[in-house]
Amino acid sequence: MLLEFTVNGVPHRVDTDPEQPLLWLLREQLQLTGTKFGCGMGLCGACTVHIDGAPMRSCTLPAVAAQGRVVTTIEGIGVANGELHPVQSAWLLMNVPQCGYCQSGQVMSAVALLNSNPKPSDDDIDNAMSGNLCRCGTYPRIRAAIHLAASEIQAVSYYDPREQGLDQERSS
Amino acid sequence: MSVDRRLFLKLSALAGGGLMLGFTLPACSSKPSGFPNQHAGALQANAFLQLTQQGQFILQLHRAEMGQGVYTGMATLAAEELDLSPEQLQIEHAQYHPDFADPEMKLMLTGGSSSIRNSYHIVREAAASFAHILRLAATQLDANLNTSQALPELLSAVKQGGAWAEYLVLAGQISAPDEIVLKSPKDFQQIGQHNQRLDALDKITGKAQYAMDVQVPNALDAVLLRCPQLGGKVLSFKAETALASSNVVKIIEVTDGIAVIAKGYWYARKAAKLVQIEWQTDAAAKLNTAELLIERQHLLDTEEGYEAEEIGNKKDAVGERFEAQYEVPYLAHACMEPLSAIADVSAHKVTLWAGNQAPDVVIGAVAKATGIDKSLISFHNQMLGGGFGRKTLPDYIVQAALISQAAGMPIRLQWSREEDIQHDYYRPSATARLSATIAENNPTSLHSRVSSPSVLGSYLPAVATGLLPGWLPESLPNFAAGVTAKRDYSSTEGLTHSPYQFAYKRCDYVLQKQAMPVGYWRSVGHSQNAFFLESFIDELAHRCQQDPLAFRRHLMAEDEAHTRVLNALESLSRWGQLEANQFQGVAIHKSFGTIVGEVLTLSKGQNGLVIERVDCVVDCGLVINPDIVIAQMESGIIFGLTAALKGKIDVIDGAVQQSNFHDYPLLRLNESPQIRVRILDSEQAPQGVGEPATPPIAPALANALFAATGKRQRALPLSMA
Repeated sequence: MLLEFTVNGVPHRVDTDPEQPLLWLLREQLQLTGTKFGCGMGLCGACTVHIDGAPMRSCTLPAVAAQGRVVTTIEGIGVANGELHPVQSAWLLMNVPQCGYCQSGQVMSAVALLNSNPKPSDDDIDNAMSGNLCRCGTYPRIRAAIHLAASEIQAVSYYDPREQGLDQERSS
Repeated sequence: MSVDRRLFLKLSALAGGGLMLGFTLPACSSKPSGFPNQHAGALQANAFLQLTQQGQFILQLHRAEMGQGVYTGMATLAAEELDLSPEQLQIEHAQYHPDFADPEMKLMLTGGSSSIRNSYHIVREAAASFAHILRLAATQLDANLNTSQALPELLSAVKQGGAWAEYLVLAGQISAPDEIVLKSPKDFQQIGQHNQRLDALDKITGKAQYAMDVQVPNALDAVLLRCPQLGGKVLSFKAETALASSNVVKIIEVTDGIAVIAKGYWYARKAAKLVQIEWQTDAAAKLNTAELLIERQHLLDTEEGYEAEEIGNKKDAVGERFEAQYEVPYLAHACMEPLSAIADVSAHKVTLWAGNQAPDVVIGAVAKATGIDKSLISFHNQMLGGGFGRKTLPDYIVQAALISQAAGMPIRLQWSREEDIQHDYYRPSATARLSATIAENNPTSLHSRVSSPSVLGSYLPAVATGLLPGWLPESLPNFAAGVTAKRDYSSTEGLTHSPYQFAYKRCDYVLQKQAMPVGYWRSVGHSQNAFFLESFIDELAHRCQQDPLAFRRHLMAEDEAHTRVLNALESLSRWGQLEANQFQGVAIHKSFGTIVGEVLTLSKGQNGLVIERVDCVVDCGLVINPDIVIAQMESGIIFGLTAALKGKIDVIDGAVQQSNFHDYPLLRLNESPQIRVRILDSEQAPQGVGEPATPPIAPALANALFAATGKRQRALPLSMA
């Protein structure tokens, strides 16, 4: 089938099997490799993209479901001119990533959460983020970074635990 | 909001996820001419560092970045001696070169939490040597230049003088100094100060490149069907229907499986479901985890085994005898990145792209498998989407090379999550019996007896054939593996050399030969042995009617370093100062040179027991990047909690029963506790950080659960009920 949709603001027409998951179409046909393959069953969230603003697992979503829709990937969430989204800035300030493989999906889920809920509680974060696995265990920092993005991100120029009065100790 | 460049200022990182080799192999690869990744016209002082004609310093990252932070850590070490900030270095994944070999393991290998420990001098020396040459060249170029200023300012002055090209030529003629003076720790500007990760920006914008993301023109996508049962080989197969499936290019029998090659991963996977294969299996297809457990118990009943440690006199083991048996299952690594490799194999050249912890193991194994000389093979390492020891093995890269060779085209091999879990090299399943004698509430002896498969016995034949000289008999690696397996020190590590003093101590290892393929898994033998020992010490404390933390302090009184960690942990965790319905468990363990103590606090509410927080104290010697140390403690704890609460691989008739995250679950964000980390100051040499936080967490949880329920759980995974 001929799939017509918008990806990161750019209209695309792509020939694909309608059943091919959107993940592989993005990665292989559009070379948008920031979206990752983790499980193929929608269990880990590494492949999270936004369809019309809603977070979806692209590894199980057939390409046909994107027909006429607006798709946003990790490559497309910066504010403008290659600048970072506030969620990405918070991730950077909190040194969230380790191996980094799951982080595109984590960031996409967090952006979607803050779009719908600008001041999430811990329970809200649990509900929105527990579908995104991280084997390195960056969860405490993800939680802290979401709170940071939601609150004082504009006020913080860079993160140094010692300036926060925590010495080399962090309550996460 | 733009990124403040100050984000990237200062300090560094630490090692992680892997193994510690108990053997050394000669690095027999013929030395490549020159250094890899050489930039045209650049001044190259040594394998690690170059200065380009544009004035850019380039560092070869000789260790695999798999989340543990070596990308930042190595840059910090080099930057320190070059008077730079780490973010000013351009960093490239190093290709294989003998100068990148680990001084202990004699291999270019990332494992055993050794990266910073074993690079602390090497990388600084490489940088200091380069700095010395650059200063000397400046003197020769222009005696009026002030060579006491910081190196970047000196280089700016040279550039402004207009003789930059001449300067690089001059510097290229100067040999490395015989003696190198390194900066004194009191003068460090970056080490211990820099607190940001250099790879974070790429990893949150989708730009970081993992194996799967490498774009190789004309590479087609391959999947490899293998027998679900261990050791199975192809007897026959039918692929007509699959071959007619859309986008499919080739279907071939290769490396004990059937490779389906297509334009696009999903098309290859879809067609693979249509291939009918008849498998031929052997004795390995009879393995069952339930039977292996019974066999280990029988092995422990025998008098067999290797005495790994004996301290004191057996006659001092007096008093009432108390014994307990513990058990841990096989575990998969479950890196978030399913294994992937790209290979382009022709008659005279092999190019490989993948993420791997051991480039020379990769090159040796691919040379052996393809029959192509090592000197014709180049391996391009990538960011690893997790390693944890899994990527010390070259199996998936060898498969990619063999498929490419057989198909005569470049291919990208992609494993599914199911293949990743079912064809792993597992953390060994192990059984331990610990016994003590107690006289008047004082323990007088400790005897641990453990049975498990040997990781070393599995790893040695898997990698050695490609590393040993060709004239050695083919049987040698297997013979050597058989000999070393029986005494594999990693099977008892942590049970031996414990800080606890007993009048009599002994530790035995009984090898279990029947096994699933086993491999190095974050913290290796410590991952189970800390659970055995620290659970048993807790049991002894209760039997001796003493507080578990005070009991430990008493038993390790002669060990100042352990006592320091335990005391700091007591204060950080507010040990014993509990509210109603709170319960604590403590464990302390040294691995990879680093002591980590953890107290886990449970709280009992409407939904039963919940892990409220984990307090962690670490003594890892001198710290390169404090925040990365904290991150690795958090990481090791959460990784260990998955094993403590969820991890279990079951095998029936040689086939792994688990397949994806629904039946091999990992800890999720909503289950992740609050974690507080305190790093103890130290002027000792840097030690490991990637692994040591994992071993204590399972016993800390088991001990807290005992405090809460009065029920002792002696098998992982634990039940919170």
